[in-house]
Amino acid sequence: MRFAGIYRKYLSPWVVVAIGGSVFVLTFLYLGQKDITNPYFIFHNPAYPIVSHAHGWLYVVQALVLVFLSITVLELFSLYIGTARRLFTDKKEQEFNRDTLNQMMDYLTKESSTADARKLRALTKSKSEKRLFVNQLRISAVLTKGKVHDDCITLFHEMNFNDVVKKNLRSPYVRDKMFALRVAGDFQLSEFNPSIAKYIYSKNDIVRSEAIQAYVKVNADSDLSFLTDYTHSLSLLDFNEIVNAAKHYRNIHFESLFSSPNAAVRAIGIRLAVIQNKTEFKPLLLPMIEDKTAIVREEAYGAIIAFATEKEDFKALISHFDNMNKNLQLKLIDEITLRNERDFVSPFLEELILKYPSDIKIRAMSNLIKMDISFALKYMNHENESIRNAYKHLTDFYL
Amino acid sequence: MELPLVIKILNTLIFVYACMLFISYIVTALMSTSELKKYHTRNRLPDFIRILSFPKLPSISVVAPAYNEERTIIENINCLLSLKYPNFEIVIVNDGSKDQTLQKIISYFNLVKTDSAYEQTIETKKIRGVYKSQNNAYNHLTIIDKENGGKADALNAGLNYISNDLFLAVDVDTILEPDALLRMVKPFIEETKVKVIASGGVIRVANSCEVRNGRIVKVNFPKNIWAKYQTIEYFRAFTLGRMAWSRINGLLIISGAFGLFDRKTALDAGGYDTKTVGEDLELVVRMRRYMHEVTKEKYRIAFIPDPLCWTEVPESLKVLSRQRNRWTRGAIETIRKHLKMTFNPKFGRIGMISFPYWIAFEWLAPLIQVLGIAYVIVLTALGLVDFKVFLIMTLFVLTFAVMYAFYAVLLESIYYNKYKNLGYLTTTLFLSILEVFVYQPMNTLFSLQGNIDYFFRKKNRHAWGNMQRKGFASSDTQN
Repeated sequence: MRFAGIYRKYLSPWVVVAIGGSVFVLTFLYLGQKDITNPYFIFHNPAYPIVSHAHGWLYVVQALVLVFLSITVLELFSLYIGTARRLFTDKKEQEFNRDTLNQMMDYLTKESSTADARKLRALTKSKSEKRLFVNQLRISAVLTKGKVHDDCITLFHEMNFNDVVKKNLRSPYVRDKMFALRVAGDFQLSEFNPSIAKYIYSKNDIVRSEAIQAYVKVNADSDLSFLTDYTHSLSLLDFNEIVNAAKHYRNIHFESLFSSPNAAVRAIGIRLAVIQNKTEFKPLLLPMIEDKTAIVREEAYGAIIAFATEKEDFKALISHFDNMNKNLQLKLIDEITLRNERDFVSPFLEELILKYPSDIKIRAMSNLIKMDISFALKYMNHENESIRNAYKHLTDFYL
Repeated sequence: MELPLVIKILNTLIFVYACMLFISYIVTALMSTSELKKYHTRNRLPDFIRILSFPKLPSISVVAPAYNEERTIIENINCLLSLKYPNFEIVIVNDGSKDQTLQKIISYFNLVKTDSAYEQTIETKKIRGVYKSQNNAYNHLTIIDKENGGKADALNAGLNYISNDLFLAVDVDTILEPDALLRMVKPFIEETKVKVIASGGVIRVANSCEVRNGRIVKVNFPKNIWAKYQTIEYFRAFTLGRMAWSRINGLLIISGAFGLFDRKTALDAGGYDTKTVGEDLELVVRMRRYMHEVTKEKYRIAFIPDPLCWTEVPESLKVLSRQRNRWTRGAIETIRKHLKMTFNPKFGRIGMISFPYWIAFEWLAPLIQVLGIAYVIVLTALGLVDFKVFLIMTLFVLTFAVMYAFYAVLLESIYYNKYKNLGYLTTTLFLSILEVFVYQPMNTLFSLQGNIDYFFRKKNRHAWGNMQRKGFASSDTQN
C-alpha cells in the first residue's frame, strides 16, 4: 500500500517510460541466464527454458514480447492507481472547494477581520491546498475591481502567503516558478523584485515570458525604462499582458521605449502612448510609420490615426494605406471623414470605392454619402456591378 | 530447412519494414510524451479568460458547412454562438441541403435575405443568398445559402465571405468547448520566432455522452462497439501521433472537423481543393508547400492536445467503411498531387520525414498488410512456415499493440481523465487485445477498398458517401 501511495504521488508518463526502459535493459541482460544471482539471492529464471533454444533475432523478439508484456502490466497498474487517485483527489478537491473557498468568498463579500483570515490559513494545510487557494484568490483578484479586489490582496497578505511564493520561486521546477511568478505579478509583490529580475533573462522561454510580465506588474511606479534594453523577443501575448498591466502607469518614460532596439518594446510604448492619450509624442511617432517591423508600423498607424489633426498627418497615412490591415484602413476612413474638408476627403474616398475590396468600398461609400447625399444617386446606378452591389449592401437595413 | 533465395529476400524486406514501423511507433510515443509535458507546463495556470481582455488579438471567423443537418442544426449553431472570444463571427454555409436545414435556421434565428457584397476570390458554386438575423443578439451570425458543391466548395464560399485574420474550419455537428477559440488562438499569439499558419485540435468521441444546450455535460465511454474502438484509435492518433508530429513541426493533417488557419495564407495558397475528398489534408500540405516555395518564411503548424471538440463517430460498419474509404482516397489524391515533395530537401522535414512516412506507413501499410497475409497463406500451403516462429511473431505484434494502445490511454488519463471510472479501463484492455484481430483487419479492408475505388473504379474516386448521424443522447434546445 505504501509503495502504491508513493508511486501514485510521482506518477507521470516519464516515470512509466523510465521503468519501461529499465525493464528493457534488465530483460536483455538477464533473460539468457538460467539463474540470476547476486550476493543476496538466487533467482531461477522461469523464461529460460523457452528462450534457451532461440538464437539471434528470435531471442530478441521473445525478449521484446516479455518487455511489452511487463510494460503493459505497468501501464495497467499505473492506470488503476492513477484513476483511483483522481477519484480520491477530485473528491478531496471538491470538498476543499466547497468548504474553504466558500469561506474565502464569505471573507471577500462580508465584513471580515484578521482573525477570519487566520482561520482560513488554518484550513489550508498541505502544499496543494495552499496552491489551490492562492490560485483561486489570484483569479478572483484579477477578475474583480474595487473593494473585492482590494480585499483579495489584503487576504493574501493576512494569510502570509508570501512564503508560498518564495518557496515556489526557488523551486527547480518550471511549473512552480511559473506559479510563483504569476502570483507575484498579479498581487504586485514588489519584495520579490530581485528574484523576478533574475528570471527575465532565463534560458527557458516559458519562465522568461512569465517573468517579464510579472516584472512589469510589480514595478508599477517605475518608468519602464528597463524594457528599453530588453533583448529577448516578446510575443503578442507578452505585448497584451504588459499593455494591460501598464496602461495606468503614470511614470512611463515613453521616449526610451520608442527608441528601444526591441520592436515589441517600441510597439508597447506606442500603444501605451495612445491609451494615455499622449498627443505630444506625435512628432516622435510619425516617422515610426516607416519602421521596418510590421508590429511597430501597425501601432504607429493606429497612433497617428488617433492623434492626427493636420492634413499632413492624413497625407502620410494615405501614402501607407495599402500597408495597413483592414481594421486600420476602416478606422482611417472614419477619422479622415470626421476631421477633414470635403475637397481633400472626397477624391480619396472615391478612389477607394473604385479600386478596393468590398468592405473598404462599403465603408468609404457610407462616409461619402454621409458627407454628400448626392453620391447615393451616383452609386445606385453605377455601371460597375461591384459598386452597385456595395451600394445595395450599404442600404440593406440588416447589414 | 533451407529457404529459397526469393523467400529469404522477401522475408528480409518485410522484417526491415516491420522494424521501421515499430521504431517509428516508439519514437512517436516518446516525442508525444515530451511535447505533452511541455504543453502542460506552459498551460498549467489556465487563465484563458485573461485573453478576453487583450487589446490586440487576431480576429476569428468560424466557418461551418452544413448539409442536411435539420435534426441538430439549431443546437449546433447555439453551441457555436456561445463560444468565448472578443472578436469573432460565425458563418454557416448551407451547401444546398435537401432537407429543412435552411428553413429551420431562418425561422429560429429570424433571418432575412440581404444584399451583402463580397468578392468571389475563389470560384464556388452559385451563392443563392446571404442571410442575417433581425435580432441584434445574433449580429455576428451569417448564413450563406449556396448550391451543393461539397464540403470544400462550401468552405471556399465561407473563405470568400470572411475577412478576419484567422478562420476556424469546423464541422457544424461537432460540439466545441466554450473556451475552444481562446485555447486554439494561443499558439498564434505566443510564438515569437516563426509565423504560425495553423493550429489543429484533438477530436474526441461524443457518442453516448450527455449533451445539453449544445454542451457536453457528462462524458461517457461509448456503448457501441465500433465507437469504442474509434475512441481508442482517436487517443492513439491524436494524443500520440499528431502530438509527436507537432513536436518536429511535421504535422501534415489538421482534422477538417476542427482547425484554425491563417486566412491570408490559406487564400494565397488557393483555398480548399474541391476536386479531392481529403480537402483537410490537401490544404495543409498545400499551405506548407506555399510557405516553402513562395514566401520562404519560417513557419509552424501547432497542435493543441486539450479535448476541445467532440464529434459523433460512425456506429455502423457501413458508415465506418465509407468514411475510411474516403480518407484513403483523399490521402492518395494528396500524395499523388504533391509527390514531388517526397525526399525533397527543399521542403525540409516535411519532404524528408513526414511525406515519406505518410506514403510508407499510412498509404502503403494496409496494402503491405494484405500482401503479408497472402504471403503467409502461400508459404503455409508450400509448407515453408515455422509455426513456432509464426506464433512468437503474432504474440510480438499483439503485445506491442496492447502496450501502445494503453500508453495512449495512460496519457489521456494522466493529463485529461475524461472517463472517470475503473470499468472503462477493463473494457479498454479487452478491446485493445481484440483490436488486432477485429478492428485492424477491418480498417485494412476499408483502406484496400479505398485504393481499389481510387485506382480502378474512377466514378467512385470523388464520391463522399452518405454519413448518417444518430444525433446526441439528449438535446433540449429545439423548442
